[in-house]
Amino acid sequence: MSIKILLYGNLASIAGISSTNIDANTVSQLLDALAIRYGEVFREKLYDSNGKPRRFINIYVNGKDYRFLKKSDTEIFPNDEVSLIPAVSGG
Amino acid sequence: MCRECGAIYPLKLLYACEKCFAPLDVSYNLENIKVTREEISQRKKNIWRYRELLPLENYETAIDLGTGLSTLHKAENLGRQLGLTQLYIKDDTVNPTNSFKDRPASVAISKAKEFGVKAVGCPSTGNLAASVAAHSAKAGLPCYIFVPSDTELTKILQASIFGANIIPINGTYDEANRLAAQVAEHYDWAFANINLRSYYVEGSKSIVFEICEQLNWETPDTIIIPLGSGALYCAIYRGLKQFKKIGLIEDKPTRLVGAQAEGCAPIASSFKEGLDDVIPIENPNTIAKSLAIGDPGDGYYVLRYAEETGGTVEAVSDEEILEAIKLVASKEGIFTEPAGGVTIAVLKKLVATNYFRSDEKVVCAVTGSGFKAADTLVKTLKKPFAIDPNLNSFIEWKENYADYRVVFAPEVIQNQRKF
Repeated sequence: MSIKILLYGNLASIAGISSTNIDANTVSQLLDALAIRYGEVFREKLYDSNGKPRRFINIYVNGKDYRFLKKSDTEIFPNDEVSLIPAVSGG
Repeated sequence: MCRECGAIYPLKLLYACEKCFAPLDVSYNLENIKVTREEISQRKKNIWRYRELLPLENYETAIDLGTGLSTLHKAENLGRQLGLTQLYIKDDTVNPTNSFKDRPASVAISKAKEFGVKAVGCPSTGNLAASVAAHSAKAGLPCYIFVPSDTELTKILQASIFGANIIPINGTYDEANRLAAQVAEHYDWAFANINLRSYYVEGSKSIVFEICEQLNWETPDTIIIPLGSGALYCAIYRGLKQFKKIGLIEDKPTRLVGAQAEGCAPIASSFKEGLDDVIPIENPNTIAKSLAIGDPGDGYYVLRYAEETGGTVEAVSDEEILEAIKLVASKEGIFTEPAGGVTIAVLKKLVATNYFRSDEKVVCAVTGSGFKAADTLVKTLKKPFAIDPNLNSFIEWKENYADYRVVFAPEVIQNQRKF
């Protein structure tokens, strides 16, 4: 199942692209697949030392914050769009 | 410098640490700062009197509309009612665009000018919109403002009059924020609270620098601060530390109290539950629209600093907010927007729990003018009635309606639960 991924900030710089497609059934699978595709430096940016997605990266599934869905267990479907955006620290 | 991993970057347009994505703060070589109280007191009455602790290469090129040194009222009437002998209100309704946001906007747009950017902007709940728009007009820069579509018209009017492009978003502030971050990156524009954020928040420190100076260089015991994203709270925390470090005030503790509305209280809820991070809320619903940020970027740090300073984070209802607006207006002659009502309502709530010593120096931050939220507040008005233009009519009015007050009729409030 092909999911559209949009990357922003330093994640896009490291991956070398700002948009790609990937096959996955959940957000968790999608993040793992991205880490495998774009290598160790990308993985380090994506996950904290406990192996969880970093708290300063926001993940949106079809524009909805994944924390308001089922977090890493959120199911994703063909043609869904997932955005990974460094969190904006208010103001 | 990264707030989490300590990575150091040169001064440039950057909105998060490139290593761990945590917020970046401007760091200063505090050991080398030798400014004295006397030197500061002789400078112009604007935020640039604290120039050593603001991040501009040349303060003389600052985009300055006259922001700063707003009044610190000794709130004797309100203090008497609440049993506090040293209660103060920092009145930032008197800044050029009538809110504290002129402080960070002045620094952010000045820095944008220094960087030579093509355009500026921000996502906003309304107050920052007007302030960034005004400063960009003065700087001669195109300006793009992203606001939730339910933002008060008075705030949109104010931003529009300065010539900014206003983009209302069908969504919450958090969604406007996300879109603005994408736009800033796509066009390489400078947005005040996004890729200029590290500089922007520095301007907010000036509110606590002024409080200390206006208290005759004494350290306040407690400061009550309204919380939207938590950026102002964190700026006050850092400002106090810096003033203490360079010896301008005595190194004694200041409790920092955060104030939220119950309709959008993700930080207060997490604090009460003893959590170490904030659980965002999806759909804020409060009359305090300038604080309606469900995913507060600095909430995580507010939790830490509230614990560290011995402070707390409280939430109050919309009814308590309206009562507090009326209270501070009738006792001290200050007309605040709902965010300031949140501060005063939290003060009242804490007084009821004996949180304060009667003689401690308590400062409440009133951060925006009531006129900026006029279309929210006007919904709560009881319509005034007219009398005939003769003395008898007045005498009749005085005998029958002397206690009549136009503002915030309770039955009207009940009918306006959805704002």
